[in-house]
Amino acid sequence: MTEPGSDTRLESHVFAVLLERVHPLYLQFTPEWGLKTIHGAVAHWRVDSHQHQLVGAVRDLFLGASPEESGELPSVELAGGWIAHVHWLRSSEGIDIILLDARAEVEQHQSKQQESHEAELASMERSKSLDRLRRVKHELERRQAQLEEANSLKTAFLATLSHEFRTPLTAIFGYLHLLEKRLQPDVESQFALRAIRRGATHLFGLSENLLEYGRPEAGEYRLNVVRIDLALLAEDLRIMFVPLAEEQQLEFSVRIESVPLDLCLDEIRIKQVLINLVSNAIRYTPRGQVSVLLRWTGKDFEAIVRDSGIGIPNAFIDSVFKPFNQGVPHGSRGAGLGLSISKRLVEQMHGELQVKSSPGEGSEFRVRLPNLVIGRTPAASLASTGSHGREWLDGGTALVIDDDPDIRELLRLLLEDLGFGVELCVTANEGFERAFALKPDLVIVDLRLPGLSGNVASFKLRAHGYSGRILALSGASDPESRRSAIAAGADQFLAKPIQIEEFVRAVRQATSGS
Amino acid sequence: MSEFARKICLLGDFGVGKTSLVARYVRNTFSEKYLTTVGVKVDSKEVAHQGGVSKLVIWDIAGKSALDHLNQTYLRGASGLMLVADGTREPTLRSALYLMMQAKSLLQDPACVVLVNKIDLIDRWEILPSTLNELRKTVPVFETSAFSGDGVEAAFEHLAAELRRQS
Repeated sequence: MTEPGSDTRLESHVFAVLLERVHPLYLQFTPEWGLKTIHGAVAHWRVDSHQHQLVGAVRDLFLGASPEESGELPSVELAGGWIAHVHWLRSSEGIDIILLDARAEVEQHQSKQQESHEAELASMERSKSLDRLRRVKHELERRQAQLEEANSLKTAFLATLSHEFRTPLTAIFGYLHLLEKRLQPDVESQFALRAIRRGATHLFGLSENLLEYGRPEAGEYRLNVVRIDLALLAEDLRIMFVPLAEEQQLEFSVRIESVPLDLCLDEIRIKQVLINLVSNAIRYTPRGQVSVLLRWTGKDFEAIVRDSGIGIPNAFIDSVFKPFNQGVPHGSRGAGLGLSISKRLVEQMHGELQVKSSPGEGSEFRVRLPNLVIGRTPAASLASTGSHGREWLDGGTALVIDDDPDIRELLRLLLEDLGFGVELCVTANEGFERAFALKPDLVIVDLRLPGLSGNVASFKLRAHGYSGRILALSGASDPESRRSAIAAGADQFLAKPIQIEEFVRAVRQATSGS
Repeated sequence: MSEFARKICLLGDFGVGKTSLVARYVRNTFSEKYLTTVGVKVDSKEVAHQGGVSKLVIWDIAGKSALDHLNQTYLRGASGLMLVADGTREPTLRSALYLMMQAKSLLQDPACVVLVNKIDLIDRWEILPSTLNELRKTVPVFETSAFSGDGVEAAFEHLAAELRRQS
């Protein structure tokens, strides 16, 4: 039995509890949405300070359709951050709106929903990752097979590559020499010529060393022994290093003493060794002199490179021939391969390389080599590969999207050389807009651009029906970069640094395929 | 005071970036943290243009791959639809197109645009350019990034202009 009136009391209590939870706010509007009154939990809804914003947000809810007689919009987050269940009653006198605070309920729901959505997203990611792993495993197996094949091709490839490096560098040094001799350049041009020489010399040494470093450690090494013209070798060293020495105000000399006419050495290797030693000597000699002496001792050929440079501390003298300058101070100034490669080359020529040094006074590197037996003539060593085989393509337009001004300009020159009219852009969006308007025959896009990647430009062009050719350039050469460039819509992918012939071939392929 | 006001609704699967697109468009903000939407968030933005000032009331409806009764309630009175997909999840484009079909049957000739979001993650996209090229023949398509802002303003402006044109 319940006492009389207890049901009413309970109902009142429940009602009070509910009111406390939902903080109802009543808004009365005219049929034309003019506000008549607001009452209820006005403090809870910050009506005093935000009435205008709240009323505006409520009106917005009914934009586009007049409300039915009664209705509800549950779980609405209004502009201003209020979260409410919105109820309404419409009559001939206007519209009554009731806002019930739904924040706690929505937040509770949100927390559960968040968990479930995150779990679902994570599960999708997991399954994608598993797919990727499977692809990677498959790719690894495929690459292992390729590596075995590639390894056998490496030696032949390095030989070709070495040749390819030497040919253009030879041209660079040759023309530099001509320019320095024939022109009377102003100060700025002199600076530019010196910068070119410095860069080319560095590149030459670096490429030779890296190529040498990539060769197998033992076996398979064949000396290319020729009758050597030391006067020519000395002249090459002078041409290469005198401008660099002059720039540092160093005295630089190359001397030859009592050398037999039939001295036979591996010309390329001895030259590489001397370039390494002299370039090191100049690099580490802030003042004074660097000298090279080439001589015959009666038993051996000797090349002595002396400098008055900073020298090498005793503690590091045993480390100088280790690759990548392990433990040697000042190592960061070069690639750190020069001396280790030089030692290896000298040993391959059955000779020895020694060093003496006094910190603060200078260093002396002494190469001692036996006279070798002639094996081949020097004819083929620096033979030209001929022209790049560039031919003019028949007109056409090209758009280059690259943020590096040097590369952009280089591509422009190359493409103009190939007969294209060329336009240049810097970002993916700019490139897309321009290409979309211009409809060029060829788009060349770098993948690493400021903001969105170059793949976005390719994708958007394809997604807008662009049917011309797209050539993607990238500093990365991994399969994933290639895959994503092709997936985004590129026809071809080229890794930097751009090899001119490869680039020309790619452009030709791209345009012939279009 | 705006002379022209229209309600538009964003529809799409969960996690495609609807709320982030609105935040980018209305407040020019972006949060890396994914926060699911419950119910609906209503926001608005006024834009000045040659013909005056337009107001878009934007309903960001909780992500679903199909319209339920509640979402249908939210759609009432909408003049424009923004169907949002995530380029890195191909099925979300199918959901967006299905939602467009459903919503069109409830509304009277709404203006529609499709946004394929997360273009900043292009290397992870599953949606093919050729798919969007085909789709573009029937509905305007925008590749967007709420993260960088790319394409967002253009997509909203396109829909607003279309609504003005229809009025």
